[in-house]
Amino acid sequence: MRLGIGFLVIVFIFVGVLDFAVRYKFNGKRWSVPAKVYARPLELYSGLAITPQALMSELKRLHYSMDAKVATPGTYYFQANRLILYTRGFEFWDGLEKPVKLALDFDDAGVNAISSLPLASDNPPGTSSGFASEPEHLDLVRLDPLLIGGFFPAHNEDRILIRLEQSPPYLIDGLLAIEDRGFYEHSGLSMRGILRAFMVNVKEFRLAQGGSTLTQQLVKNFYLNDKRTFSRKAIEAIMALLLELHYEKDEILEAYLNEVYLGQAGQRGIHGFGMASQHYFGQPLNQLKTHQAALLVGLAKGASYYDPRRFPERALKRRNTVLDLLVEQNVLTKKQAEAAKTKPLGVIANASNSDALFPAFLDLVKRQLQRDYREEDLRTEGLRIFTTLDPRVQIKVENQVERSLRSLQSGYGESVRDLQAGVVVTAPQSGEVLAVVGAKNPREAGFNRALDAIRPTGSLFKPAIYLTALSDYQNYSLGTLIKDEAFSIPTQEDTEWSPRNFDGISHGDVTMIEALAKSYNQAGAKLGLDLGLGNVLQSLRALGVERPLPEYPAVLLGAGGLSPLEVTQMYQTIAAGGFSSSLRSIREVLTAQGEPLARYPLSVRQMFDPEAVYLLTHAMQEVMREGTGKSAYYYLPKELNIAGKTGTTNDLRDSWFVGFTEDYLAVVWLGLDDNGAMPLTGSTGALQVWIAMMKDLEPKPLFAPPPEKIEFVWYNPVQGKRSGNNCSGAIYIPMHEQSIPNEWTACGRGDKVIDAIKSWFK
Amino acid sequence: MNFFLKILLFLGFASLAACVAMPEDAGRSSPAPEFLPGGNASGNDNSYQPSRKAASKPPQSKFNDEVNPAVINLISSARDLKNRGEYPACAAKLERALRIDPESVSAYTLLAEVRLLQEQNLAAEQLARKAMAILAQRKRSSNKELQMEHLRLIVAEARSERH
Repeated sequence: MRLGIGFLVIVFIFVGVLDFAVRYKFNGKRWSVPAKVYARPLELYSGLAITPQALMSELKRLHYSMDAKVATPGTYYFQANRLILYTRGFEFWDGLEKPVKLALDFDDAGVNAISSLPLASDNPPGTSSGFASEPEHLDLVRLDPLLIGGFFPAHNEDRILIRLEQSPPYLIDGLLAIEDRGFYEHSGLSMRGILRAFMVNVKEFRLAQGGSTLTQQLVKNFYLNDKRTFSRKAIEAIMALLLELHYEKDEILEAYLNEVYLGQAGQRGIHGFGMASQHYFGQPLNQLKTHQAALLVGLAKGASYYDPRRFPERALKRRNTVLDLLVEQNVLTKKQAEAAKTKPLGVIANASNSDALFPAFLDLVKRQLQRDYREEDLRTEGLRIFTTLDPRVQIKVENQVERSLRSLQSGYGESVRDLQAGVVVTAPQSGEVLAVVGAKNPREAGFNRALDAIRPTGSLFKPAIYLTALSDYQNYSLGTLIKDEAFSIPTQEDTEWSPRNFDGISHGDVTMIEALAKSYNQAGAKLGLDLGLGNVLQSLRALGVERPLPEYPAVLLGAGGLSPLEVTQMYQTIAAGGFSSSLRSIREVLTAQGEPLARYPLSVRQMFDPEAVYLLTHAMQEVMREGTGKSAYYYLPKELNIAGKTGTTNDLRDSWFVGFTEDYLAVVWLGLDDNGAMPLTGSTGALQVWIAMMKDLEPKPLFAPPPEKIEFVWYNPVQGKRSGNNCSGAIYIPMHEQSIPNEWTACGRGDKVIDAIKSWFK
Repeated sequence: MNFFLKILLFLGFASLAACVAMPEDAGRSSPAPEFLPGGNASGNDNSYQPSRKAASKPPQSKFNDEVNPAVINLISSARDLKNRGEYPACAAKLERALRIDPESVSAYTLLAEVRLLQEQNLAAEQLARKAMAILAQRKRSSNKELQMEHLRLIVAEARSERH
């Protein structure tokens, strides 16, 4: 008797402990969900410069499928310059973008017009609706963004949480039909299942059959390990009963949908139907079709055994079994099932969210996030991070970097065998980072040269020298003569600094525009020293260089060093007309529930006069027309009006090029990781990569109209006077109104007077 | 002054009035903070001839006003959001507009007005300056002068509120 009571007490305590465990986990945060990172969504509008082919590549990346009917979200069809597209819709930071069916009409310039088409549900067949059949003009449509990665927790479970109502038709029916027919009736255990399992087990003398209800399976996944012992089974059964006691059927079902193991992506386990849908079909769960839902249901029993990528035949058979069962249960008609069976598995080749996608860009995103969020939250809170990455730009840049490096290697041989690269591309006005490449093999994670290779910049600091001068309108203009001649100044270590020109020649008196275009070291250094080292360093800081730089003269020719990303920040200010914007790789962060959490807004800060920056930009365009960047126009149309600057360091250890058009600012660095010398200058190395990138990107011409205070004049630099058109010794340059001299050369004035007299007699 | 100009003036001042209406907005609970991470950014003498081809013709001015319907659409919904006091959402719309047309003076101007309402005066002033710099590159027109004047007022207000 006493023994009996004692036993009861023990059982009571034991059940109490189990009950606590059941409720504790179920009530608390059940899963840690990795943050998901998205590329920028493509905005479609009339006037968008994109070819149908480029748009279709974007759709393919998003796993849209070509289908003449275009009857469901995620499909499109193209014929005779018209693309019919049914978007998926997406929940963005600024609201839900609903799925829409639309027609895009293309002309040579890109998207000409967008009109909406009626959805099937808007106008059900048989009903004659008086309206909604007219195509409606649409101004703007956003596609869903490409998932480019995530931040995964230590135990490497990847999932996307879903709610019960997000499951597609037949998923739940199929799941219950195949896993647990009595789910809505039983109290956690199914006697029929247990009996059936018992019979099988007795027959085979081992624990082969589970006979588990969904509740039991959830308990096993949630609280217990995989061992099949009788005591485990007993505990599992008690916990299943307790779970059913405390929670609604739908809550348990929803938990099961999010917990069940459905596959593997490298190190990461794919848990739940939400993530599985992305993993196998690259689509949101609620848009799966019957045959896709059936495949996922089939995987619940054994995701590795039925892995549709490794064992497609086995998976197909399994899927069709599920479809047959649905007919048996009167969920599907025989006709529907047969139609679904004719469909291929439709599994995408590689999961779009593979870790290897764009590692250098993700690295940048992660560093920015780590400033504002705890690592733990990034790995567990299911944050949705919307980045600025433009997959189209990123992929083209990656391809061209790889190709150009290969061709440089075949041209220069052994000495550049280990040539490495760091590339950053941004949108010049906003400072949004569009693409990052951190290695010659862009898919290789590891040392991210775009962010971490701090290398001397060579002539890339020269624009800061010239900008300092050009901001002083009284004393300097592009036509001011400066001295390109040998000089030496003592340095701190008892040595002398005597800069040399690349060609070894001093060029005497040269105009500022020529000195920058041809990148004369002696003229640039002399000008910098005349202006004062402190003032030039001040300009560098104003341009956005935060890294401390050495305060000795060699800094004028790039001593110290910056990463490609830091160089981008510096030139961003020039490309944006003197307004500095912090480079941004993140736009918005949403919580797992879709609540806005943070925005990284556009901010601008004026650091230089638009007039001074205009003059500098003009000189940087001259670099491309007549100077060190000239070779660009052998390959690119001259109308692009590119502004650029080459950079080469001593003994050819670093090859740099920075250039911008209207829509892209791109910085390219090439060099060896061991800092060895190579036979490449900025022009023969980095510029060639830049050209290849731009050729592929087809940028818009740089359009920088002169500010009001700038006037184009004929100017004689030697005499320091204005001149008439085409007088000998005169150059045609933009000048600030304060720099324009009142005096005229004899040639100019004379012409002017004669012209004026002539005009009286007309 | 013609009729068209009067309407423009009225619109200019009406939108200005919207930003001056601080007391009304002050009582409203401010929307979720939009936190700003990181606190924010050959030969000798004159034988050289700069190339003339591209330089000899200063480029023509662009359109003076936004013509892209997508941009107009975004700016108009941003205006609604601004009137409802939903500033971060409004800013998000304007940034979308600026991605499509990075030189939209209207988008920069409205963004400056929103920052002023959010009492981010430094940001407001800088955005207005950016709009002015873009505007300064455009052809002379009465509309341009009007927009310029409006932007100067934003700058003045941003500066006065800061102290």
